[in-house]
Amino acid sequence: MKKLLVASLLALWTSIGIAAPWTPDPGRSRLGFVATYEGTGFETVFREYRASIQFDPKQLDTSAIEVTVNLDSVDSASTDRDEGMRDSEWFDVANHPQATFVSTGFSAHGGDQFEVKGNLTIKDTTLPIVIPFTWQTEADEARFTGETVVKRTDFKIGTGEWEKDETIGFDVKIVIALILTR
Amino acid sequence: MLRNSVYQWGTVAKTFHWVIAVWILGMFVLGWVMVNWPMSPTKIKLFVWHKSMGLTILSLVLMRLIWRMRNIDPESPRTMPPWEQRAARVTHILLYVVMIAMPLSGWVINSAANFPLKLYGAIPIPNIAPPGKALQTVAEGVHLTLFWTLSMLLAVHVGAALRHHFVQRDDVLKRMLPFARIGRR
Repeated sequence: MKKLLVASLLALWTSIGIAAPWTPDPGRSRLGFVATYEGTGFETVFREYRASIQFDPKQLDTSAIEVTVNLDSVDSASTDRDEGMRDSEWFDVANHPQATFVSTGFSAHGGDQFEVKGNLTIKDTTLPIVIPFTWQTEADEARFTGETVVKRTDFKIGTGEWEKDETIGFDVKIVIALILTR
Repeated sequence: MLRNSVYQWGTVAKTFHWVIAVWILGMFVLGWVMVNWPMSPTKIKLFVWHKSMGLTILSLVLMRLIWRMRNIDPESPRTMPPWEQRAARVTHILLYVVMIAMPLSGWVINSAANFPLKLYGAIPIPNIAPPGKALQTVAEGVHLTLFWTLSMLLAVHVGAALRHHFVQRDDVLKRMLPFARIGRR
């Protein structure tokens, strides 16, 4: 019954010309950021996130990206630092467990280069951001690679004494490298 | 005299001794203050200073050890019984072991905790261990144990020096004092 439902949905998508959304292969994908501590960069990934990518280079108008990140799954290969990032002054995961990104529009920049505009919500703060990315397909896989820099304090990440950049820099580079299947 | 003689420590050995002594005391205070400081940029700065000073002490101790091995040691007073001479020797060896092991264990903590480290905010220091909570916990235990070991060794070391000076009334303390003059006997 479930299989039938999925099959009919797939058939429906195909019939109205929209393919099933791409989703990341968690083992080979990476969603995270690079921030700076005392002037030295450190890499952080999120272990839990969902991404649904409806993308067709020829149909940018109907393309859409939705990402939800469980902030509690933050992993910078440092237990102490991860604990710190979950605190109320940083991600405040107790009150704001998730961050989301919802696309609002796409533009093509030649070849496999694109840009997605969208709203990033962290800690109840929603701001528009732009992520330049490359889109490559090979066999039945797609590869989404992009990065953009945001200012952490715009999202109230690092409040109180942390609102200065003397130890933790303001600029945070969001890094997205997804291997997608559908 | 830069070098040691059979009567007293040379200027280099004295400088190493007192500079390292002051820095170790500073580390005791700093270490205590920083772990009790609430999480803040200031706490991170205090940690950076602690780590920077610790690695500086490590390099000073290694240089001091090289200098010591290329010099003679002043002789112990003839009045000193053999067991005291052995006890002094063991205490000094242990002091060196702890002075080297303590910064190393701190370095392992920092590596396992995976915090990037720039000495005095300037010189990048590589990690000497892979990141991991288990290793970090072990290294923290070692670091704390070494702190208590060092505290006890210093109590013995300072106590013995004061005993030599005020009870035995020999030159053992004086010959390490910065400006003391020792007469040949």
